[in-house]
Amino acid sequence: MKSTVLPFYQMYAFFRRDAVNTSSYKLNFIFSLVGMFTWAITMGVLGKLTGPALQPYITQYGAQNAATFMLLGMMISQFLQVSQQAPLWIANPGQLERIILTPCPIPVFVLGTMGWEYFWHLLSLVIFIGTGVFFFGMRLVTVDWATFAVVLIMGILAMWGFGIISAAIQLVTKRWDPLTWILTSFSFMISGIFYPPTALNQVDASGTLFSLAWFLPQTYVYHMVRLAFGGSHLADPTILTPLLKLSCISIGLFAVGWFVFKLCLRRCQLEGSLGWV
Amino acid sequence: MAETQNPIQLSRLTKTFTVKKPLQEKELGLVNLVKRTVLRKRTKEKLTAVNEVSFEVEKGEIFGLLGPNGAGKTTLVKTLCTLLWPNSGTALINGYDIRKHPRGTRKSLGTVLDIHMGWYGRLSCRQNLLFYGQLFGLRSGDLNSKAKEVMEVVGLSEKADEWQQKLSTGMKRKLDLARALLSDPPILLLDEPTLGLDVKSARDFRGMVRDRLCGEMRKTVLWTTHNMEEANKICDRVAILHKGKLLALGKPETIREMAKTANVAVAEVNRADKSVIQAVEKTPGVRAVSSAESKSWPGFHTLRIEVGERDAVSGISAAILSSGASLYSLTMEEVSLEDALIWMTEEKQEKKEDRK
Repeated sequence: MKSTVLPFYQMYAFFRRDAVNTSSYKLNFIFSLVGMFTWAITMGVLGKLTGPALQPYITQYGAQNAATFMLLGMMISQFLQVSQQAPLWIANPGQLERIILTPCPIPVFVLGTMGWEYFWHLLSLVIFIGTGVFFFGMRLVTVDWATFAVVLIMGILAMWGFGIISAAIQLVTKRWDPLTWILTSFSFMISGIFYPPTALNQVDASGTLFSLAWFLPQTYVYHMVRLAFGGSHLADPTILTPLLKLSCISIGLFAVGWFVFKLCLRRCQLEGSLGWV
Repeated sequence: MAETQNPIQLSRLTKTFTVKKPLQEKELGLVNLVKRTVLRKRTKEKLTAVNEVSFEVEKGEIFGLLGPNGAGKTTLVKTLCTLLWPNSGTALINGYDIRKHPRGTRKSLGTVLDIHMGWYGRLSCRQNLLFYGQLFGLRSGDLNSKAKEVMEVVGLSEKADEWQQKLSTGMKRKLDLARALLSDPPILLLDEPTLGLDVKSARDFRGMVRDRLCGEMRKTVLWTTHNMEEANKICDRVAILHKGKLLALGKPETIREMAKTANVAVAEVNRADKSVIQAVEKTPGVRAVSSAESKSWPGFHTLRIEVGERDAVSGISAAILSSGASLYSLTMEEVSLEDALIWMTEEKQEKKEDRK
């Protein structure tokens, strides 16, 4: 097989494996779909209830309502979380040792392992958008899909960086690392899933939390996705500037993550702890 | 790889680990943990798991790596298959240097490691093998036929569509081997492959490796085990490892011969009184005689007779019969591989203590 085709073929192998594995849990598969829909409804209702309080802060995102704001926040947060957590699966000792014994390169293994999760979360995205459109007045005519896609990809890249660093820590420490936990909880509080960072000034007049929020790549992603849903284009300064910042963070994090991972993998190979749990 | 080159070549391969010293009872607890962290008190020491090991394995050969637990067998296998990085020395696998060409090395190897790793319990045996086949880049047409073929080779065809997690330990072992054969590698590294198998399954497994894989398919096999009887039955040559060092290398019979300190004849007789023992002692070539209750013949006696040369045996039988005793069996005691291993490892220990 040609070396250019082989990585895609190998990624397909991972996707197929995970699809067969997931579909073998039939009841769980069906209930997960129902669960996604219920979660979307919950977010929509929460948006409606908190709408009056949120309204002053979300006017910058165009004509979209508070329910849409909430739905987008949760939908994107799921995507970002899976991007951060998926690399952790590669640190599974039995699996990693076995894959290293095949000619499959580590990057292909990482991407392949995440393939099914992304497919699953794309389904979730469709359910969230469908629920928004049919029940909560989400408007798709204004959406700039290209901006939406670019922002999402850059966000995913940044979260991979975090995830790969976490996986590297886990390879060495053999325990779930605190980085993921701290980032996730902190991001829920300040990066704008349920309310925009500007609303933080209500509880923190000094503006510290607001400033801290912009150190997290997630904040840029939520902000720009909502702008894209309001009709902003890639060339708009409101998108372009934060997108450049996000790109720098993403590329930097990814490069650091990969370097740290290779370092930790080599350390495990030296000390013989690759197969330890 | 050049035709004349041996598939496995090791030259002074060394693998050292830095291990944490076990903590004493008084060092346990949170306060001590903080103290250790603050004071940065080092509790580490070096452990050489594989110490300048050199040997070569010929094509089509079954090479046994023997040694007690902790001898360094698994470390050596994991280093050869690039899961561990060696500290010094070289190893060539099918002509590939394990340090410089880890990918080429892996392509040349099929490995069965000591635990059933990397399987997906809710995928069938076939689906699992297809997955690994795709990672090896086998095309879809070849892939199906190859999966079918390796399942036939290991005798798993009937279980092809069964979930992996439903297989018995023996079947899982066979599936491990099927995966190792999937890419048709010229070399197989089998780490304790019969561990957990019942007697019949282990025998079938050994037969299959011996006849099909090495006999028909001309694979080269490195087989680690601490089961000496198994090594004796299957291996063309063996190497004995102890605390990372290679103690002996050669054919099983040569190794057994090395451990032989004396020729001992064992006679089962109906009585072992003074007259019988004296008659045997007077036989030319006999050095010493001892008697004990027979373990295999209740009511009889076993005479252990140390002789200079094996030829003395004919004289012994005549001496026993002439003393009026009945002789039921007379055999030369064989040194087993197990005896050889214990002898070698203990002798090494004694030499070390002598030096102290």
